[in-house]
Amino acid sequence: MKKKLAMILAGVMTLSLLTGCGEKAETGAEDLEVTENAAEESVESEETPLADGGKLSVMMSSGDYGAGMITQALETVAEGMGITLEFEVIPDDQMLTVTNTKLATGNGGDIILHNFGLTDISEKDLASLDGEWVGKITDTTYPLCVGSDGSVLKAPLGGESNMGFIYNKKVLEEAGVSLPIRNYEEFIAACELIKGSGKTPVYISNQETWTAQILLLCSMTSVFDGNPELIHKLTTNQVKPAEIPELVKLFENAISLKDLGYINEDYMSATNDMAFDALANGECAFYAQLDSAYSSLNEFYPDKIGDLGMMYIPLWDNEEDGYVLFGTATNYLSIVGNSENLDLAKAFVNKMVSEDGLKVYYDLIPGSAPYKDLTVELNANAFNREMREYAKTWPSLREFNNALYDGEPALSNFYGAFSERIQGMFSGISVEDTLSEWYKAYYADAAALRMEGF
Amino acid sequence: MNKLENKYYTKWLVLPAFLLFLVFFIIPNLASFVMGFTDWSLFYFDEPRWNGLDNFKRLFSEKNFWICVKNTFYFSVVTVLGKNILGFLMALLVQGEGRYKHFLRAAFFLPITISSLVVAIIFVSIYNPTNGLLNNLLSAVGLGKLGVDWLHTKGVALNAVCVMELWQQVGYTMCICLAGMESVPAEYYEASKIDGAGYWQRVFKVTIPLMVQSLTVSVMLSIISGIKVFAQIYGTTNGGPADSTQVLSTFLYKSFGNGYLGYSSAVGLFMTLLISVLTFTVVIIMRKKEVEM
Repeated sequence: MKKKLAMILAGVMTLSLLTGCGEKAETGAEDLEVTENAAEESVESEETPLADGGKLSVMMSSGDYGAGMITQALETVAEGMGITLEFEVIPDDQMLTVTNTKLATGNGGDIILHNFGLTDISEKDLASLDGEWVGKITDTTYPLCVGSDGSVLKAPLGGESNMGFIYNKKVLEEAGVSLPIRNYEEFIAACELIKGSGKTPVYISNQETWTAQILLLCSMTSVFDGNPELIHKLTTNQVKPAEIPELVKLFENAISLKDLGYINEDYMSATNDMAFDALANGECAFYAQLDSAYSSLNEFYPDKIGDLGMMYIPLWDNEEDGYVLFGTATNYLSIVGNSENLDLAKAFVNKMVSEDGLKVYYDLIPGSAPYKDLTVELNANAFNREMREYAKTWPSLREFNNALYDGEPALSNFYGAFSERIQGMFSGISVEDTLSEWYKAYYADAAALRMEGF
Repeated sequence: MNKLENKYYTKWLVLPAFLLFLVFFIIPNLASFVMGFTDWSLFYFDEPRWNGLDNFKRLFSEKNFWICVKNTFYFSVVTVLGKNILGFLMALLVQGEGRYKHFLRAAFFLPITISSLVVAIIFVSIYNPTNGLLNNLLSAVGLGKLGVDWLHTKGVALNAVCVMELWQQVGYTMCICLAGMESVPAEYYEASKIDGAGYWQRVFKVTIPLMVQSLTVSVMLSIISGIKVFAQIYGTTNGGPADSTQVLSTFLYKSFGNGYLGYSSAVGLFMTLLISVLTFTVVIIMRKKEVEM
């Protein structure tokens, strides 16, 4: 008996060890087999390389590295200059810490590809950038590239992102829902129809910390926009988010989607990939995302991409509060101030954000480039085009923490791990507690930044 | 060798190890202790300011911190008990001579050789609610209704991580227990057999009392690893859902990630104190129970 029991236990432990190895990863090697298209040829056929030979290190997050297209664009341009790039990939949730630690200890390498605000990372450790491209940065993105002394420290590369609902046209059509949907009441009515047709109205992928927040990023800027008194009170700690009724109502509207049963049952463990799958295969109607999702959807569901569109997120009660979210550039290139290859790094960044470099990038990753007055036409995706149409009748605003209030990104220090707060709200934390936790988080940031009033 | 050389001979031999210990343990810990009383952050990396007990006031007033303390204790208690009870029982199974003894010992010990993060990845796939092994297995035997989202359901997630930890670590405890059992002289068993003691009587009256020293070590190591748990949580739930599985180490990691270096030092200081107090208490209690062989 004893021997048998021991054998069984040994067998179970050995088998358990092996079970995990057979699972097919949802995203894996196949993700890295990125499309090989005309982009590679582009730079090779360009004019004489600016630099010949040399090696540069590029630090980037696993999210940016993941699909392989950004690295492909960077490498294509680098190859044209005879430069070899070495990528240092940092897990998404460690990127800010590692970047700041490396900068503080003088080990930042050469180039950083990131999407941090200049209040998040140490300005003094970044090299100032200059080039013809500086004058072409859009007015939306430019203020976020400039340091406190007026020098440009970030070269915007990725497209100015639209955020909103990606929707499945066929699902809406089958449920009898027609667009435009202009406010929360109409949206709830649409969700009811979709639910009645047996499909999930809104997909939430709450395992990913950052996705559910898009619902509110796309609907809460109007609370602050045009309200300088509120901005002043918030930034001087005279008012807390929970004391702003319009904000509380928006949060309640967002969580009502869960309370009314309009979201997927496995929302806590669902991932972004699962959401894409459900959306493309017509199992759900809406999923809040960035327009950059177009590239992945087009790659993995090429025959379904035509069924998908993008719209704003109408969680506001009054349609006068509505807007279309046009964000700033999705990623930027910065050069480490004490880089041993400063000149080469600057030459590379200048080439990357030149029209030729941007062409390479946007051929691979279509989007709305953060540059104006370009002489070449860059590849924008269908989602961007649809959002631009909505922006003809609705105002366009940025997410609350990047929006300019009287020309200043006054709430840039008030993000307060917002994504985690919204993830928590969908996992069962009340609106009141969610707003309170958000306040505590940004309070801690503001105190660490030694801001007045905190 | 003169008298003076003889006196310092052993100390010179210790010096290299002591220097390493000083540079990589004592000095960083002392620095961390001091920093725990400053507002040092990545935002003002070069200008830390003394802020007295503010970090500790903030720490003790944070709701999440107390959730972390509760979770850390829960994880420690469950895993300390589980590891030691199961480890002891498994040691009993593989103790003594037997044809497959070495294979079984190796099989039980095998999981400990894998990195905790790798184990976490394996269990994330086993616990996957839609196509994971566990839910599929439950469905296959007609218990599909018991299937849940193991790592993302409040009240279940932490237990699921405890099970994973037990699966990986129980072989290690088994080894410690086995070493203790093997050190018990065979005459004691022979004498108790002659006196008519049954198998379980021999276990409780001979084996356990004579191997308390090994159990003390095992319990102490389990407590330390339980309180320091990080990779298991980080690799599976990352503290979610909604901080319900957050433990002290992930809390510290998160506050460090936010750039609050002084505050993180305060959290680290609290953890060190907690581990020290608990470990010493347990060691003192267990020592009293040890039986001189």
